[in-house]
Amino acid sequence: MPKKAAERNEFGEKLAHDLRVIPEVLHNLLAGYFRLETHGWENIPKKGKALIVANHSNAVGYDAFILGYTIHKFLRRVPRTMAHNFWFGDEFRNSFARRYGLFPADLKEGLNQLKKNNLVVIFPEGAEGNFKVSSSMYKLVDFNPGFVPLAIMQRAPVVPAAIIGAEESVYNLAKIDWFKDIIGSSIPLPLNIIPFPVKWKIKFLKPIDFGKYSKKDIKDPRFVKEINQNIRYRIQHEINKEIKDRDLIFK
Amino acid sequence: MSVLDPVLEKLHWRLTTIRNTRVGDVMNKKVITLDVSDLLATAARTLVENRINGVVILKEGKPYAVLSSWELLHQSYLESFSDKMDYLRTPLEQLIESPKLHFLKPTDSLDSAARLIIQHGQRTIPVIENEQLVGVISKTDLIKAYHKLLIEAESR
Repeated sequence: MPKKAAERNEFGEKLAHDLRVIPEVLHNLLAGYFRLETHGWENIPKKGKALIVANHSNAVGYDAFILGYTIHKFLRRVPRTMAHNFWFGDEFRNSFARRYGLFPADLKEGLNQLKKNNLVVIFPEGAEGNFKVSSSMYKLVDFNPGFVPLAIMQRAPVVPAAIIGAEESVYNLAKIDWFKDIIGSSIPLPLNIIPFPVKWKIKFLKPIDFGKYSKKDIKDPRFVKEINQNIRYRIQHEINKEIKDRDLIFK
Repeated sequence: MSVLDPVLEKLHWRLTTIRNTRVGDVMNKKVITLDVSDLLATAARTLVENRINGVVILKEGKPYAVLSSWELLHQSYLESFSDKMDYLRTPLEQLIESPKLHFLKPTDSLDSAARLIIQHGQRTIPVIENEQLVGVISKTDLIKAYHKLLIEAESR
C-alpha cells in the first residue's frame, strides 16, 4: 500500500491513514490462534459512515485489536476506535494512539470522525466492561449512552457486533477500584496475559437506521436510554444464543 | 415406620400415577393453529383473544413451528425503529427465521414433557402421531395435571 502524506487536523496532530504500523502477520497469527470466525460482513456499509457497537471484555483488550484489524483486512477500511482517555494523557501516548486509529471519548471527536465518513468502533461498556471480573462473563454491563446522539446527529447506521470467545481467553480475577480517582479508571487483575486458545467468533448484526428520528428526540433522556437498551439487548441476545449453541469453548 | 406408612403410601401412589400418566391423557385436544401465510395481526389476535402463550403454526398442513408470545414481542421490539414489522402486511413466514419444533408422541411420559419445556424453553409442545397433529400440551396443562394428582392423592 503506498504511503500517503500525513494529514494534520486543526490541532496539528497526525491522523491515522492506515493501520499498518504493526505488521499484518501479527493479526493473522492471532486470528489463526483464536480460529477467528466472522459473520455478517454484508451488514457493514462498504462506503460512508457507520457506527459499530460491540461488547468489550478480557482486561487486556485483544478484542479491540482483533476487531479493528479484521475490519481492515476484510473491508480495506480503517476503523476509528473510541478509546479510554488514558491513551491521550501525554504527547507520546497521544501520537502513538492516533497512529493506530484511536480517538478519545469525546462527542466532538466522534462527530468529526463520522463527518469524514469513517467507520467508527465504539465499546459502550467502556473500561467497566473491559475490566469486569470473569465470574460475570457474557453479562453486559450498562452501556454508556453517548453513542446514541452520535448516530442520530450524524444519521449514521448502527451495526451491533457480538464478540464471543474473548471472555475466556483472558481471565480477570478482580477489579481494583482504589486508584479510580487518581488515574480515572479501575485496574484489572488478569490471570494470564498470553491468551488461552479459545475459539473466537465475531458477528455483525443487521444495521439499524435511525433516519426517522431527529436531533429533537435526543433531548428526551428516556428516548436515548431506550435506544441504548435496545442495542444492548440485541447484542446480549445474540451472545446468549451463541453460548447456548456451542458445546466446547476451544472447538 | 408404622406412623409414616399412610404418608409413604400416598407418596408412592402419586409417583406411580405420574409415571403412568401419558401425554395423551393430559393434552389439550382442541388445538389452535395458524398457517405460515397468516398475518402477524392474526397471530397477535389469536394469542390475546384465547389468552394463550403459544400457537402451533402449520405449513402445508403439517406442523412447522411454534410461535410464542415472547417471540412476537421480541421481534416487534427489535424492529421498533423500522417499519418492517407492519402487523397488517407481514406474514408469519418472515417472523420465523429458523423454525424449531420439539414435539412429543401421545404415549410419552409427563416427565419427558417437563424435560422438554425446561431444556428448550418451548412452553407449548405439539403432540404428533403419524405426522398428524393430535393435540398440544403446554406448561399450564402440565401444572394442572400435577395439581389434579395432588387433590386425588389427598382425597384418597
